[in-house]
Amino acid sequence: MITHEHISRLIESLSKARPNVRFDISGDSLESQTVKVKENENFEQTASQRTSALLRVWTPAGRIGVVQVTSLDHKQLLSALDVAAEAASLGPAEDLPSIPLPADAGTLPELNSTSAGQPVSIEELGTNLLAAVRQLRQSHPDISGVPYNALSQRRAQRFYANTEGLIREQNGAVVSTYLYARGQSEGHKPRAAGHWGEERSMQSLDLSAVAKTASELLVSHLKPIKISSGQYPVIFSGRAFLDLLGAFSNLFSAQNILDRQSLHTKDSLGQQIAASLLNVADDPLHPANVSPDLFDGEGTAVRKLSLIENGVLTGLWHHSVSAKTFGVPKTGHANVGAKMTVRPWFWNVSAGQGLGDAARDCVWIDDLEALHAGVNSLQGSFSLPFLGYRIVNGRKESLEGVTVAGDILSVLKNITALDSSCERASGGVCPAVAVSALSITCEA
Amino acid sequence: MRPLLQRDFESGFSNIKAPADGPFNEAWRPLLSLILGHARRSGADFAEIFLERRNTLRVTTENGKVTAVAPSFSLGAGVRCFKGLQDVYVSTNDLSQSGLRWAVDQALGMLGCSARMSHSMGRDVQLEPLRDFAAARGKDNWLAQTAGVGEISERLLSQSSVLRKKVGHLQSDQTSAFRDWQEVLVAASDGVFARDIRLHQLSRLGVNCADGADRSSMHEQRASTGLPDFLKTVDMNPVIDEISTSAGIMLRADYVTAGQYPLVMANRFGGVIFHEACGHLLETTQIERKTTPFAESLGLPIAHENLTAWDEGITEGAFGSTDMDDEGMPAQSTLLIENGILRNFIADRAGSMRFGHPRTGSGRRQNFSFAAASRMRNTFIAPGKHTPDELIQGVERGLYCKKMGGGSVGATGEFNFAVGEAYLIEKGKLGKPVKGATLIGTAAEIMKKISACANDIELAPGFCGSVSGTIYTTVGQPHLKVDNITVGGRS
Repeated sequence: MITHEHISRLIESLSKARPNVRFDISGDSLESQTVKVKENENFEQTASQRTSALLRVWTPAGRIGVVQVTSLDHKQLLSALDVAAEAASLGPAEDLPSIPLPADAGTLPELNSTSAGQPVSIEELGTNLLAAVRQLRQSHPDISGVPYNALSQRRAQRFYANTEGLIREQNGAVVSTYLYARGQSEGHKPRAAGHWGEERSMQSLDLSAVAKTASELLVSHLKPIKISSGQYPVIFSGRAFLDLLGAFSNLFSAQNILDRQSLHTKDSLGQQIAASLLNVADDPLHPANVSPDLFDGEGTAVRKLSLIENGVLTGLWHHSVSAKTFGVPKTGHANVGAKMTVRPWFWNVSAGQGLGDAARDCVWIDDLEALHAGVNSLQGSFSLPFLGYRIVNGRKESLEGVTVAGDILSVLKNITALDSSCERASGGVCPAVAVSALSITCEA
Repeated sequence: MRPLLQRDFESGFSNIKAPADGPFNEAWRPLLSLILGHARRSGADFAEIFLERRNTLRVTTENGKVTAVAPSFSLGAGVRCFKGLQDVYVSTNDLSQSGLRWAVDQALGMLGCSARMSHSMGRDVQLEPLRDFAAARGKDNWLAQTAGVGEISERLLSQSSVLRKKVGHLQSDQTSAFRDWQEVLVAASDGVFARDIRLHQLSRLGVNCADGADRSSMHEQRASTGLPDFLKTVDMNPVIDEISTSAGIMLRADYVTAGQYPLVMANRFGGVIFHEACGHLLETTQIERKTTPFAESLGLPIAHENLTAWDEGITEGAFGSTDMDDEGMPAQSTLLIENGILRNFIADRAGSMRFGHPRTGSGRRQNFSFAAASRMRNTFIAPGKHTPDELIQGVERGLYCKKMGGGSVGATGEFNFAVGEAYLIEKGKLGKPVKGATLIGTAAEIMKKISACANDIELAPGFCGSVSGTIYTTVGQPHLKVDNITVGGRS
């Protein structure tokens, strides 16, 4: 793994070899182990160690060149610096970032808990996962297998450094799992459902609970019904709503607004874009975020940012260039590449007063599927298959062959209720969200 | 923090070094032979090393300006070891002797083999003479023959300029191109020793139109494998005409009404339906997961009798073509379905070992960090005898899907596809445009509803994401008719 001293020495030696070149380097060094259990209970095991880094060079002519590499070898980095300098003359000429200065990068936040457990052996990973897979498989006679499953432990070191003296470095460890099972009740089509878990160490990951939830979910979908296609009141589970928000994240990207690739414009800030009960923030240091990043791709310290308050658009994700254009401080969301973009860290959708009667008669959407295919973020429209239920008078029955279609701006404006507690999903926390009506199609 | 992956092997391993910079060639033989021999002596029944070097370039323009020039260089290796039918995979981007030795020892340790017991010099694996597909086909100069940043930028800016003149209500436009040059070397304990160079290039245009509340977006791409001057010569003018027309039409389109429709699907990227709904289910990885309904269907009818389908890696210039797969096997053409009867599966080494299906040169991966898996290459439905007009004329009321978006198939064979451009068919003629359609169904059922194929097969490049990452593929088909399918939309 790379140490702070290693990064310092690297910058020093590269600067010595190219004394008049201003540059930064960001990247990560990653080690991971993953186990999967096959249907015959053999293990599929993989391990990986890799480094990736992005070099940016500021030329005297005021241009920037960017090169991505997979080695921190001095000789190869020198060569990359030269390529970047050459590429700069042919690259973008406008809206270029300045090299980040330590004084503008903010103070790194301190984490409440940085404790990462010791890694376990891959044998232990396998034993633990096999037990969970067996538990899930044996939890119901109609569950026939767990075709998609994995347990991974990963250690990563992120770094940022530049010739102006800004150096950032962060270690992190994550253990994650998913269990996706398949089952079939007599007279019905096969169904599949699953659950996931993520913690800082194997010791704190409750695999049995993940298996139990996956089983309960799948069993609840084994005897699905069909419904007539039409308009229904809909409730998105917290994770489904976060998936939808994530698919339309260009709504909150200052860069996308500048690129005219957003449904919003600069003037949208301060406008009512959602029902007044909706409050959304990007909250990288939320306690539920098990692997928080402390700095962005420009080395800027992350912080909580309000995006929607009482339905009003209050904030956008910025990197240094978009912040300068908008005349606001940068927000610590830079995703650095040949073109600077922004990225969210951890969604925090505030809980509301409860779903009330909305939950007694609705279509409940547990999981949205095929987001890569069914979302048109430039048009704001979506048409997505989902795993969910029809709830009538509080009684719920699983649905099969269903899709939901709509428009994200309408969804945000037609929110009628928010659950009183939040669900933790992989990218944030969010309550169940009720929407007045959406189009549901059911396969005949 | 204690490292996850220990480097605690003993010293004393042979001091044969990894070759310095330069192409993957015979100079790698001594080290790879030694490491593979070490793996075999340590108890692995089979071992394979995959070396990869990559040089990529992406250039993007947005709204008439170059906004990104992104060169990238990567180097990596993957080691796969089998003991019986059990296998493990370790990847690293350290191609030094110690880096490769670390990777193989990790793999051996994960297999339960005792790597430390095997330091004594023993017999190395005898690799075959290098089968150099790159040298044999004159690929070593390909990289030097490709377009440079300046030429690519100039062409993209010119395309952007034309787009901005031709497309009405244009809100934003994007043109981009990439070049992905990849050199690979495969060495395995059964003697396989093979090298290849691949060159994938793509040019893409996209527009986003808006007029009040009406919005449309269109993109289209052209791509090639193994044509060094592709980005210098590809004619994007027909593509510009195509997307400017489509974007204009779809800007005013109404949302489709959900329901059951007979369907005529256009050629080219329409083939994504077969790729997703059936192709994936014929990969041996799906047999292993028990996620295909066709595992026991070899020789049995699984599709309409009018349907024949192929997967192959040999069509010159096609995006999924490859001279050898990532396990060193030469490409071939594989008949999947013949007049509705399942004839072959798509098999890699592991799939062949585990299920007995013959290898088809289909072991593919995104890069060194993935083990190869059975994956599609150029996959298409064979042409039939009808004309496209005949198919449309045979539909009283239905849907014509001119441009498909992406799609996916789940663990139960349920699939869905987004439709980018569609028209109602009324009394055998194309009617008004509609948007927002999603095609929904299950693989086993839809294959029996593809009842007629036209005579106008065309291929289209695409990307496929699955167990071994995202790879270059081609989909294709003639116009075809689906008797009945569920269309999701807005009621």
